[in-house]
Amino acid sequence: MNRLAYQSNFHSIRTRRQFLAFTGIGMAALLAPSFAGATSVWRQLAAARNSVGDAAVLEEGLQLTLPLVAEDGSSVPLSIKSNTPSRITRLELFAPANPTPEVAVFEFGPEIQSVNLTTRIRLSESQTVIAVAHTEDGKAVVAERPVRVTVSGCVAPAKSDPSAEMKARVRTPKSWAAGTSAEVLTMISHPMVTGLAEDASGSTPPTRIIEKFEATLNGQPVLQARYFRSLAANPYLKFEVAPRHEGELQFRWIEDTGRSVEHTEPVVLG
Amino acid sequence: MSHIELVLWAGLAIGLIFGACGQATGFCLHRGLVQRWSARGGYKLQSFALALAVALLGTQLLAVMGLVDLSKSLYLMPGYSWLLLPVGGLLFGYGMGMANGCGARALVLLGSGNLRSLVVLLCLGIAAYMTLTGVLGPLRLKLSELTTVNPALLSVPDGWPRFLATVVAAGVLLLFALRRTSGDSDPSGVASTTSRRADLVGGVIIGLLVVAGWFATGWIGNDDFDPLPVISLTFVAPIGDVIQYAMLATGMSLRFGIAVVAGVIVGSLVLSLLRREYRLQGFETPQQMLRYIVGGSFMGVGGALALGCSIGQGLTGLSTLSFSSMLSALAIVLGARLAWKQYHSHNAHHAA
Repeated sequence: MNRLAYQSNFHSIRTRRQFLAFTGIGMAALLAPSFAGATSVWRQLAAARNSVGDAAVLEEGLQLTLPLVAEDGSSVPLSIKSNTPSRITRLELFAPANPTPEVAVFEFGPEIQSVNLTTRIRLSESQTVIAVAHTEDGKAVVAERPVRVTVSGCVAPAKSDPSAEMKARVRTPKSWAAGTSAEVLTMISHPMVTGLAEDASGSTPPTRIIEKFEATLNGQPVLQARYFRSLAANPYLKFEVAPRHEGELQFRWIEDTGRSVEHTEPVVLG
Repeated sequence: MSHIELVLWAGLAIGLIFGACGQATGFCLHRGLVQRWSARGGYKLQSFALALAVALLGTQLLAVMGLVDLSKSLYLMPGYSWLLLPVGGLLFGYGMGMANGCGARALVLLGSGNLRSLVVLLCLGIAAYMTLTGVLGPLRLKLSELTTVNPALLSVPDGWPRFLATVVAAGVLLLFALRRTSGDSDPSGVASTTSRRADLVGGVIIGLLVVAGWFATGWIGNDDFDPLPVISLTFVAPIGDVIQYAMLATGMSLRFGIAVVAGVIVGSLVLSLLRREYRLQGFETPQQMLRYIVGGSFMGVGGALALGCSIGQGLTGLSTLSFSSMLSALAIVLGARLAWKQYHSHNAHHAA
């Protein structure tokens, strides 16, 4: 075997060992996060830990969807779907790096068999959004999703018109099938003033937000929500509900000043 | 099908037609400007003028019928930077000259196998997002904040002034577009390989696509709860979006612009295959490659600063009669002129 061939053999062994070592490290690095446990950020947030309390923690059963990169931190779409054997009674959303980490708290009546809701939230910076759901059998289901928030591509301050506030919009199906989930869309025009932002004149208007949202069917609560200032302006909530009786769905939004607005939609079982 | 899905399909259709039309007619503002400035024959500039006339008439009609709220669009935002818009326009125009065509043209060329365009598009897309949300983002925002104006008049006032402006502008553009020039008898035959009729038909189609874009996002995409951004044809951010989507699809949703860009490439590809005009092309020299890289990057940065490109501002923006769009478009043409002096006027002199 001539010298060149010998050297190239020697090289290939050297590089092959290195190659195996690198791929080994590489694969370990790729797999490591999943070994470390998919959800770990929530343990660092006191509000999330308090919400979980002593309950047994499940890390599967809640699907939290947010864009990986959000160009407009003031309105980031959030979807959450549940797939748990036991019905979810309470859901809390957190944005740990926001000035107010609490985003919203939802409580569900028996007409909501599984959670499937969509809303829009505010994120002040890149962070991991956390969802904690409590099931009827006393367990806590946790889901996390990291979101990168970039600067806004276009700087366009929304002009808020006080006369256009507190206008509610609701869309419900024309006919419902008893016990079958259908989508309800709700929105109310409101600036959700954080109390942290300067307006055009340079002053900082105090916090003023929609604090509560209630949906009741024939007087029985279907969904009750507590909103915080981490919810995006013009609070939007799409959720699924499966009514068992005919009647009236009544929606109510209450501002932290006490002002409220109501809207009613009939439920006709087809 | 949700309104969002409908808008995406509409975007794909619009892109397919744009790509096919661009491939068949060679629609290109840059080519038109060079034809004019180098005193070659050809009807590319007329084609662009016709597209603008059609876009203007159609868009204003949509607005006056109340079908689309143009005030929600990028071109009629309450504030803009008096510095960044023209600087961006100049940069874009110059880059367009260096790269021999804008982003839209590069998409069409890519569909016919031109790999130079692939390089231009990658540089354009990445540079655009570097400027919007990347390493140049904070600088852009700082400069923008320092130079923002909030003029009382963003566009021609509603009512009679707008009607008159639309009719007069469209009329002037049509007169220019339909006039036969002396370049009709072009002895060398080098100036244009497409007939005047093809150029004019192409212009009408492109103009109608701008109107279709407004209709898709502004009317079909209009929803009380989940409204889509009101946009039409533009090829700066969407090219960056396509690159991002290719990499982040698991955590990013499709947008109208992405559907349009995909459609343009496919439409151009299909037509070039049908017409047997598909041909792999690359760079002839490393110097040429560098020039195209810089040109594409200039277009990305410039287009992001100017809020649009030759199509985005030159057609879509101008169709809203926005004053800021007029500023951007003018700067783009000036930038192209500077690049023409540097890169294209030599050829004309050599040919003569």
